[in-house]
Amino acid sequence: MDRLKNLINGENILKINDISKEYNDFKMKNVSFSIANEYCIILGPSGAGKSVLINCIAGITNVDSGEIILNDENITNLPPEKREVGYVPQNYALFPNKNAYNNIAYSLKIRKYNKIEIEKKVNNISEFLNMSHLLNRNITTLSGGEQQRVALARALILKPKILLLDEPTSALDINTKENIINELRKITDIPVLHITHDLFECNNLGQKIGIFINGKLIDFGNKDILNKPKTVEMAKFLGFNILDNNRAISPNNITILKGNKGKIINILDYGVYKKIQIKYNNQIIYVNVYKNNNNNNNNNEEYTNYKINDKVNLEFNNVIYLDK
Amino acid sequence: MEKFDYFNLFFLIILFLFLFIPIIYMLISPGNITNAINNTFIESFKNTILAGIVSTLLALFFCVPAGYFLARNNFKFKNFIEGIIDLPMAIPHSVIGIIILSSIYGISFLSFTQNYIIDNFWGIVVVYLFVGIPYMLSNVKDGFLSVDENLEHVSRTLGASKIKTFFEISLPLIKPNLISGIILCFARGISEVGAILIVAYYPKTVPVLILEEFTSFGIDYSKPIAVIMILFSMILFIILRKFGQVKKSN
Repeated sequence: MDRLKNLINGENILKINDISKEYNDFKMKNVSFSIANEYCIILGPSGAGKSVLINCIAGITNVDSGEIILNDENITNLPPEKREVGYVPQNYALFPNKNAYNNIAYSLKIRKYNKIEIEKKVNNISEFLNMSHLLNRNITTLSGGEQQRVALARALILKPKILLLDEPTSALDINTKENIINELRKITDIPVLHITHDLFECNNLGQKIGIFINGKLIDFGNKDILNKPKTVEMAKFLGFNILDNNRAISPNNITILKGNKGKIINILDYGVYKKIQIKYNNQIIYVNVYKNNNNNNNNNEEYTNYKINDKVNLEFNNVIYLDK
Repeated sequence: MEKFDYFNLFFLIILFLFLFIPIIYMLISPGNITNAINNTFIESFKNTILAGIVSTLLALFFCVPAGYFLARNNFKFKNFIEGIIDLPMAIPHSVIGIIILSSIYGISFLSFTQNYIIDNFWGIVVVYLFVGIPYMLSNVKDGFLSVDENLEHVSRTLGASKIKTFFEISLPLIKPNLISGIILCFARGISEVGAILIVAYYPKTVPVLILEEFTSFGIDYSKPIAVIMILFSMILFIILRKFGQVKKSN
């Protein structure tokens, strides 16, 4: 409800104004966006500099220019300990010299909370994240998903102004990943900024989405932006077929017809859909063919019939024109 | 085990025996130990241990912040500074003595230290520091390098200042390195003879006494003292290893 209220009010909790950072060979240039109390995913390929962005917000890295506003306070030059952000790095960074309980209680002990209060808060957050049974465990004995829960509990225990997640599920198997995504979905009372290269997470969690490639925020908005890439690199990253320098098409928007202009060269079966690789006009085009007819294209009827080396024609629906 | 493993094992056994046989021979035929324990020995033993402890504590005090700085920062002359600090490991011991002595006599603002260093307890400490610091610093620095910086970052976002993070997270995590630094720095110090002979012959340390007994009276007189030193070093080594479960690489 809180999140809904804020969305209606359109209140911006985190404002990033034109921040830039140069870091050895890496350059992050003029990044600006703002989020309200919502779940924001910054999506981009590995090595795009997404972590630098999150480190700047957490205060681990200083920006060269621009400003970061959190809840109306300019935090650009504050040290990390004064920013009140929750931060979970990619490797979770649990303190190896403390057990799960003491990891979670760390920020409370730093602030000299009394024992009873600490215990109450730790128990509450552990129940919230379904991890009460882990509290006495040595962190080296925890699985990846369990470590992630401890790291989340540790970051959330003092109700930070924002939760920053750096590729939180990249090291997890698919089942654990789904469980963690379910836990993340429960965090609704503070904004979350989550960086990932994973479209699955993006589709499942993102209320606001930013596309971050080569140190630049190429696009920012709601989920629709995933269907309307602006640049060639963004289209490529989102799995679009690039027809030429300024046209792209989603693999979901291509219909396979009978004909002989193209030839199927490979078929990858993902269970619910098949990804068909077709050589067409001297170009490799990917077409997704779904088992159930819930998509734009009408390829499902022939779901099982396509074979490698079949001759086909293609029909492009909804071609996207890219910015140059 | 395959043939290649037996081949390697053979070399390990040769190495082990090369070190083990002389030590064990010394221990089983120590000579007349009761005769060796006299006032001169006790005095020199006290000097050695005390100077070892003082210099190790001083090295620890300086090397922890310095090592942390080196591990976390890159700067222009870093390699040069690290090279200079490591240099005493490669310099012959007597040369170190000459370096210290000539600096005290030659550099005017250091000349006031002459009375405290030459043939003085603090001279022993200075020599021990000179030869021990490289070991302490490299252990401490390696320790901090092995601490994931993300741990420190997270600690700070959780409200701990840089100093608090250092004492709560980074320093406790390098305990094994601190222990091995202490062992090596102390052991390197108390085994020093060459530089001590030049800078501070008096008050005598045990290695100096052993050398003196050997040159004046022969091996039978120096052997019992040497055996006591071996026993002492072994006990110390075992205790400290137990304490910190020192990593093998150290």
